[in-house]
This record gives sequence, structure tokens and C-alpha cells, in this order.
Amino acid sequence: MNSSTVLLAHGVGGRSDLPISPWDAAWSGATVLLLSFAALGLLWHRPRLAKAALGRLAQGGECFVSSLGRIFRALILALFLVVVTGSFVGPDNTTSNLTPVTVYIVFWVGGPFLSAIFGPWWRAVSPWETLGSLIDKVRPQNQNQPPSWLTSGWLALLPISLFHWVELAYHQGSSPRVLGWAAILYTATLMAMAWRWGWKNVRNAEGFGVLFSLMATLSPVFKDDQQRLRVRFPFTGLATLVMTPSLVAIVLAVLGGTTFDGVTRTTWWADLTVGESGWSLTTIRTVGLVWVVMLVGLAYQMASRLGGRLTGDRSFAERLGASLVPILLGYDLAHYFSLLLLEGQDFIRLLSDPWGKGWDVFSTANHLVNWTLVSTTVVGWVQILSIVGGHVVGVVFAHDRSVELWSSRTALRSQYPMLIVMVVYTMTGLVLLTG
Amino acid sequence: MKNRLFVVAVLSLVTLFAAACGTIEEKTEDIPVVTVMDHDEMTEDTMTEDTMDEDAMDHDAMDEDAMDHDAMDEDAMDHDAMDEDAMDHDHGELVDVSGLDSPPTVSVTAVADGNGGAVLEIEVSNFTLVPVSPPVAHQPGQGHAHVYVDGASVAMVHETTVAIDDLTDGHHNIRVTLATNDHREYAIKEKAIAASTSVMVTGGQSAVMADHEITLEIMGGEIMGGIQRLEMSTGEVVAITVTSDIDELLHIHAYDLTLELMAGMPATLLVEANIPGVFEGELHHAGFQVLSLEVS
Repeated sequence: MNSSTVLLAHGVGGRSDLPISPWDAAWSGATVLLLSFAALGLLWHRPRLAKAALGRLAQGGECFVSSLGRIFRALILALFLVVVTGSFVGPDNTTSNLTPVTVYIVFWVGGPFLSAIFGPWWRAVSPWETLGSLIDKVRPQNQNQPPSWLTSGWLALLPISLFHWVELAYHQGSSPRVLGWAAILYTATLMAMAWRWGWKNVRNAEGFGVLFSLMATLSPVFKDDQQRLRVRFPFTGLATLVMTPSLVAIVLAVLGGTTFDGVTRTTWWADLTVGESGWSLTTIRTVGLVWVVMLVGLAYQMASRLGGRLTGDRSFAERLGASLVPILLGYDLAHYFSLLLLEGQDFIRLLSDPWGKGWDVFSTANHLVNWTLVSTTVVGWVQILSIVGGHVVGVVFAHDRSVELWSSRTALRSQYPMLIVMVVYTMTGLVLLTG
Repeated sequence: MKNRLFVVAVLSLVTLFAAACGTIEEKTEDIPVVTVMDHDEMTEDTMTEDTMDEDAMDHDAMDEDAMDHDAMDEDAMDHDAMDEDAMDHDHGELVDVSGLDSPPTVSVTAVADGNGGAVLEIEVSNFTLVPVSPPVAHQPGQGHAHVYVDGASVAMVHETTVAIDDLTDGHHNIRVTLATNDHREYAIKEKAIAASTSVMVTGGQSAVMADHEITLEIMGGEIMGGIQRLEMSTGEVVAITVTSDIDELLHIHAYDLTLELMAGMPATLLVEANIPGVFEGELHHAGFQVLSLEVS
């Protein structure tokens, strides 16, 4: 049997956070949510946030950002090549290879957080973006009409779903070789499509870019239509975010995946899968993953259908989809905040010896993980606050959107089904964190 | 709506199917047996050990649960060395001699000296033992032996009789590998040529008292009685005693501790809880969780 066959939570790391005190957290979360909703209904009758979303100009920021972007574009491309190469030449072992920690922690966990802070950084530095625009330069007069399945935006759901499956269900998901092949396959597919239809059209199929850009609407930094750098209050970007059905589906898929990750951390799940390994474990986890994603998605769809019936608005789900984005950030923070800060430290060690050749490029090859960097109390509070906070922000924006469109009373009524879903999400999210 | 109901129905069917086949027994791929040992010696060794076990029990029931202080200190203090060790284990530099008609072999027996130590008798064939120092270049079929106690490297020797002192009371795993002059290990099909045995040491330092004890039994690819869970506070020590019916490796995540298990021989790992969180203990080869430590 392969030595890389290590059963790991969310792809990497066998540590999880201490359970927070069970029902208290869930009840207080639900209460906060209901109270904030009541306050909104009483006090918030006009849309206020769309104006705030405009922000103000950051003078001279573009120059700084674009030069920074150029440097990081090169660095990220180099890191991408080093990591992909390392996944094959480096040791075939989860903990001594750079690839798993880079993919599952630095990229997948760090990416959304960085987007929420610094805006659409991934679109600016992504290796696929770099390679794709390179292809556009080589083939500038691309006249091929892109097919509708590409332009619809639904294709972005595919890489995200596959990524989740490899991370959370596939028993070999933490193998560097598997990740290496996945990266090569993904890059090759994207580039082949870019060759045929031009990167501008294929960009929408780069799921990670789509997801990270979505998270970037939470950021206080953004670029307006004229590519000028502006700053605004964090989260206010949501007020002007236009969601499409495919974007809603992507957010729900990630939300469901994160929830499933929480489920697999429970003792209930551990007992359910005790003794399982290999493909039988993969089967069980696949079914579980699909189930949880379906439940999360169905709950949202049903609530928005009800809300749509109450308001006579057919695109209710998309209209309020923006409120899912802060919830996703909250879930991400709650589940992966400590993973990033603790297990993520391994990136520092492995970066010095990316190919397992005994190098010490940045003299960090002996860096040990400082497991006490954040205390368990801090982690617990971050978990509760981020889940509740994410939902409160979501409720606020959903309400702001509603009063923009409908009379205050209709708006409020349309929100009831969604509020129930939010309360259910909050409580589920918190209960899962209680082990 | 119909479509959605259909999807739910299909999912339910798949779930039922998966539940029904949940017990799809994935036959564990044959795990290479590391032990290379003459049959006679094996019996002899086991017998010695058994008698000692009884002795120990007669004298002091405590001794039975004794564990190794040494190994723990090393784990805790010398994390670097530990890491390297673990790495060596996974992808250590090996010199493959699978092609040879008569590859080197090694066997080892260990007898407790009743005074906190053990005497190892190492036997090799098709192999020449040469001193470690002064260093010499790699010569096929030549080298020295590496001795590990409870997974930690303790000696590099060319002698066939080796005394190990200052062990704590209780079971210790002894492992001997054959190394080249430049300290790579000889291997057949990526498995180091090695011999392992276990010894019950008496008359040594009494071991650290553990605050908690966990006993795990692995049989037929299953963990008896389900996943063992323990809640403990930082600073406490837990003694994890594992018996497996096949050769295995217990791995505690994040703490990055491993315990080598030989078929049928109980082995004990001491874990000092110094990292808070919930940690999984997992069987490395079988790839499933057997243990959960909740440190707060």
C-alpha cells in the first residue's frame, strides 16, 4: 500500500478545533439573527447600501497596484510551476510534499480570505490568467464563436465540484501525485479551450477565479468601470453585486461542501465510517457530500421559491443570492481559520525544499509548526462570531435589496422563508462546530 | 419540482445501496512483513518474553502498564530528529538489492538483563559488518546495522552483540536495519531489510505515570469496540497501548508521533498532551481512524 494513503481532514491536517459549547452557541446565534431581522424590519425602510457601494477614489492607487500585480503575477506563475513539478518529483507523501498544503490551505483557504480583504487579486495574478492571456497574444484574431455552454457560466461549477470531491471524498485526495495530475489536466483543458475560443470567453470556466472574484465583492478595495481604484466600506460591494443562477449554484456548492466537511468532523460521522478505507470510504463520502450539498441547495431554492411567490418575482433566488456570499465567508472562517494559521505554517517549511531534495532556500526548512499561535479560546470565538456575523451581514443585505424593490411590508414578508433558512444554516453551522 | 423529487429519490436509492454495501470489505492489500527472522529464534524470543511478562506481573502489577520515558523525552524535545526520522521512514534513502540472488538478511533477538537494559544478538548473512568509523565509501554487501528502540534510532553498530542500557520498565520494540557505509538502508522492493523483536525490560527506571490509559485492539482490519475517544487536559499524559493482529503503524496527527506495531505484540505510546485541539490517531497502512484525543 502507498505510503501517501493518509486519512486527512479537509485534504490536509489531522487536527480539528475543540468543540464549542453545543446548544448555547446555536441558540444565541439564532437569537442574534432573529433580533437583527426584527431591528431591520422596524428601522430600515429605504435602501442605504447601494450608495455606500460606490465608495470613493483612491488617488494614485492604480499605479502601485499594477506594478505590484506584475511582480506577483511572475511570482505566482513561478510558484505554480514549482508546486506542480514538486508534486511529481517531490516525496509522495502528504506531509513532506509542498503540494497538498499549498493547494488545500494556501490556495483554497487563503484564496477566499485574501479576496475578501484585497479584492480580486486572483484574477490579477492567477497562473491560468497569465497563460491564458499569453495564448490570446499568440492568437489575437480569434473569431470562433464560443458555444453557449461556455458562455452561460455554468461550466465554472465543474472544477469547483470536482475539487470538492477530491478534497473531501476521494481517499487519495491528499496524494501529491493526484493533485499534480489534477492541476495539469485542469490547466491543459483551460488552455485548449482558450486556444479555440480565446481566453476572454474561457475565463468564466475558471471556477476558482469565479469564486474568488465573488468573494472579492466583500473587499473594501475594488476597481470601477473605468478601472480606477476605489475604496469603500467592507461588505458594501454586495449591494451592487449581480448574481446569476450559476453563481448562486457555485456558492451553494461550496457552502454545502464546507458543511459536509463539518459533518465529517463529528463523532457521529467517525462512528459511521469506522474501519472504512479505500474506495468504500470514497463511496460513502461521495454520497454524503452530494446529500449535504443537495440539502443546502434545496433549502435555499425552496425558500427563494416561496419568497418569489410572495413577491411575484421570478428571479428571487438571484436577487438575494448576494447575501450568501458573506455567509460563505463566515463558514470558511469558522472551519478553516485555525487550519490556515496552524497547519498552514507547514508551507513555510516546505517552501524551502519544494522538491524534497534537502534544500534550504529560505532557511526555513526546519521551521516547526507553532501549535499555540492561536489559543483555543480565540478559535472558538472566531468560529461563533464568523458564523453568526456572516449570517447577520447576509440578512442585512437581503433586506436592503428587498426594500429597494418592494414596499417595506412586502419586502419583510418575502424575507420570512429566507430567514428560516438562514436560522437553519446558522444553527447547523454552529452545531457542526460543537463536534 | 418533479425533477427535484426525482433527484432526491435517486440519491436515496444510492444511499440505500451504499448502506447495503457499506461493508464492502476491501481486502487489505498484502502488507509486507518487515520481520526477517529464523523461526527457531522467534519461538525462543517469544517464550523468554512470556516468562518475563509473568514475572513482572507477579512482582508488581504496575510494571505491566509501564512505558518508555526515553522515547517520550526524545519525541518531545528532539522534534527535529523526530521529523527527519519520520521522513526517513517514508522515503528514506534506500539501496535496492532486490536483484540479488542471495540478498543480505538480518535477524535479532533481545534478552532483558534484569537491570534496566537489554542485550541484542544480531545475526546477518550475505553481509559483512564493518566499523562505522572511520567512514568508508559504499561497498555493496558491506555496512553496519542501525538499531532503533521504539522507533527512535539509538545506535549504529558493527558488533553482533549489543547492550542497550537505561531503558524504562515495560515493553520496548527493537528494530535492526542493515545500512550501507554511507548510512543508506539496504532494501528489497522498497522495504528496508530489517528485523524486529520486542523485549520486556525490568529493573530499570520506573516509567512515567500516565494520567490516562487507552487500550486498542485491532483485529481482522477492524478496531474492536469502535473509535476510542479521550478527553484530557493539556499537560496530561496518556498511555496508548495497541495490539494489532498484523504489522501496522499507529500515527497521531499533528503530534506527529508514530508507534510501530508488530503482529500480536502489544506496544505502548506515551503522548504528552501539549497541543490543544482534537487529534486523530490513524492506522497508517489500513488508512482508517482508531483514536481521537480531545485536548483542552
